[in-house]
Parts: sequence; C-alpha cells; structure tokens
Amino acid sequence: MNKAKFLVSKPKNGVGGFVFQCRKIEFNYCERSGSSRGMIEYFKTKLIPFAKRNPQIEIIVTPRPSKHPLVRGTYLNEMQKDICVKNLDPKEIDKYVQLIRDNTGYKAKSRFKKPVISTTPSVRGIWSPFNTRPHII
Amino acid sequence: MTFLTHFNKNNRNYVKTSRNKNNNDNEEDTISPQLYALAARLNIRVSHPKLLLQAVTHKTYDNTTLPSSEGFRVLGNHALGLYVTEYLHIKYPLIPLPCLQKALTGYCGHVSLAAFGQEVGLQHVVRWHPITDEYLYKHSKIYSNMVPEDKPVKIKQVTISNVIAESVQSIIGILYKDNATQKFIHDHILSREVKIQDTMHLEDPQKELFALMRRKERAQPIARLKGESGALSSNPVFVVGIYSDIDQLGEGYGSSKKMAEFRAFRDALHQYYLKEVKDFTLPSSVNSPEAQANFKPTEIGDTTPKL
Repeated sequence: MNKAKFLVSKPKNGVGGFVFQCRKIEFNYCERSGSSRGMIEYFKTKLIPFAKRNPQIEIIVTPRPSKHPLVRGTYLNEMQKDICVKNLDPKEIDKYVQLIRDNTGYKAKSRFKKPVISTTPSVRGIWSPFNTRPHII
Repeated sequence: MTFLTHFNKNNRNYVKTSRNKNNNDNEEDTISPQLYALAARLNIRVSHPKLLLQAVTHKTYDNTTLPSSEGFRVLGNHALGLYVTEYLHIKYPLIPLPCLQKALTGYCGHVSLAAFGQEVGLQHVVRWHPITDEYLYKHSKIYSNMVPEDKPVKIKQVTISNVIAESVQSIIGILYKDNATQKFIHDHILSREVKIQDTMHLEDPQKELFALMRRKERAQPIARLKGESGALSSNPVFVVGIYSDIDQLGEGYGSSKKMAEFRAFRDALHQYYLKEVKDFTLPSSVNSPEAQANFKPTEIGDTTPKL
C-alpha cells in the first residue's frame, strides 16, 4: 500500500508509444592509423544512410588521434556501451553499430537470470519446459 | 524555498543580455542535435521547428529572443488534465472523488512528468537558469518596490525536475494546435502505470463497507471463513469472504483471521468503487461525422464526493 503523499506513475515503454533507448552514438577514429581505415570507409559509405534512418539518435564523429577506432553508444539511462572496431571493414562495423543501436542501457548478463521484467511478477515463477515432469502412465 | 537576504543594490554587475542587442538573429536560439533527436524519439511533428525550442526554454532563461512558453504551458497543463480526467472518469465510473484526484496527480503531477522527462532525455535539452542573487537583481522589477529592504525575501528555487515537468506541459501545449495532443498523452503519459488501489487508503474498511451496504439498502455484510491451511503452524493461510446474503462482495487472505478479514473488507470496497470498465469510447476520440453518428456515450456512475 503506497502511503505517500502523492503517487508517481511507473514507466511502461511500449504499452502506449515506444521510446527508443539509444540516444547518442559517438564515433572515434584516427586520421593516420591503419586500424581506422575501415572506419573511415564506413563514414564515407554507410554512416549517413544510417543516420537518416535513425533520426532519434544523435550521431557524433570525433577524431581521436593515435587511438584505435571506437563506437560508443549512450542510452537514456545514462549507461554507455563501447565497441572497439579496429581493423574491421565497413560491413563488420555496420553490424556492431546496429548492435549498439538495438541495445538498451541495461547489462546483457542480468537478462539471462531475469528474462522478464514486469511490475506484476508471477508468484510461482514463469513456466519453463526444463522443470516439468510430464505425466507418464 | 530559499530565504534570500537583501543584497546591495549598489553592486552593479549588470551584464548586457541579447535583449539589449539590436540583432534579430540570435545565435543562441539554434536547435541543437539533441532537440532534433528528442523530436524524433517522441514522434513530435510541429509546423514550425522553433516551436519545440520555445517549449523547451524555461521562463528563467534570458539568452533568447523567442517568445515565452508560459502560454503553451498553461494550455498544455489544462489539456493534460482534460484528457486524463476523461479517461479515468470513464474507465472507473464509481471512483470516489478524492481517489480520482489522487490518480490524476499520479498521472499529471509534477513529479510524474519530471520522471517521464528524465526517462526520455529532456534533461539534456531544456534551457533554464537557476535563481541566484545576480539573476534576481537583473530582474529586479519583480519585487524592487514591493518588499521593504530589511525583510528577507522568500523565493521558490527552480530545480531541474520542475523545469522538465513544465517543459513537458509546454510540449503538450504546442502539440495542441496540430491536434496531436490526445495521441501523445495516451502514448506516453496514460500508458504509464498508476496502481489505482493505492489511491484508496482506508483505515477502517469494515466501517466503510457497512455504510455502503446501508446506503445501497442491501443486507449487512458478514465475514465467513472460506478456507484455511496450516492453522497451527508457523505460516498459516486463512481465506475470508465477505457476503451480503448470498453474494460475495470481496475476498481476502492473511496469516491471521483478523488480517484476512481486513483484506477481505478492503477488497470488497475495491471491487465496488474501483470497478473497471474495459470497453469504452472516449468522447475526445470522436472526430468524424461517422464516429459521431455511431457514438454511444458510456454511462458515468455516481461518483461519491467523500469516501
């Protein structure tokens, strides 16, 4: 029983409208280093169509001299996920950028122990086929 | 609330703001990439892009030539209240008035709107200025002649949560012109969860239920033990049902019979007052002649002023 002076509503993303969780992707690259070659090719070919397809993400491209190329995603809960894309070609970089875009800020590891996050959790746990003993006559 | 002491009016640190300059094109009023991203995230399509910038600029922000967003804020606040009240009133036809008001605060109150704004990334986009001595001096026309010099001035400090909540209201206000408010409110604000049972806080549900049954001219409610398990163990479970003649009004569980009975009375009141209607058409959804012709108004129950 909530005895607070006033109630606060809890978010339910997706029930009404869906709010995209990735808010910013930052690309770091080096102009001279060899590991950033694929990244620079990615900027020339694939980055702008990606940005056009995802207007809800703020995209920043910053040179970071003498460092490996990095893709860093920031999410609405202020968590960040980084992926180093050194020595990869544009296709592989695109896959990792897609991964960062699709993710939320939460740690992937915790979703294995608790696959369902709900405000109305089940009392006896969610059914799984691994914990049943089918009736045998 | 901060108590600001009287400050020396001879201390002139007056800075020329952009309002004193004579150029119309203020570089500070550019739309940041975060604002574009926010508009796409929330599916806000406005006729003029600077409207959104206006909505997100708080009244404490000086460095702008845009008009004030206060008008949109008031409009948005009232529109929000309208749509949420309409929804709650039709969904819960018998909800008592204080519960309705609490639920309304739960959806449209400043705390909830601030929470929504934070979850959506508004804190990176709002433009505001905290109230400091210098700020107040700059805007000294607010109270220069009204307050005597010896008395301290009570001024409500502006916090980021307040600014975010007000900018959400302004955003709803600017969407009103494009008739997009209902969709926005239903998508982002009414989709959030407020447990309607929490609005009803009862110290003595038994007394309330007895009064309700008398008012409805029905038989006096009786509590009966429906079932039990482990009565003499460390974790007993009792299930109690409240009956008025043969109809069950409510059911409750508990580790003692008294607790089970308490929960049962509370459940009976929830079942009656917080009854939910699943199938309804909102009057604000009726926006075409065909819909108007087919519209069947939902019966609104008799809401009690007190519980």
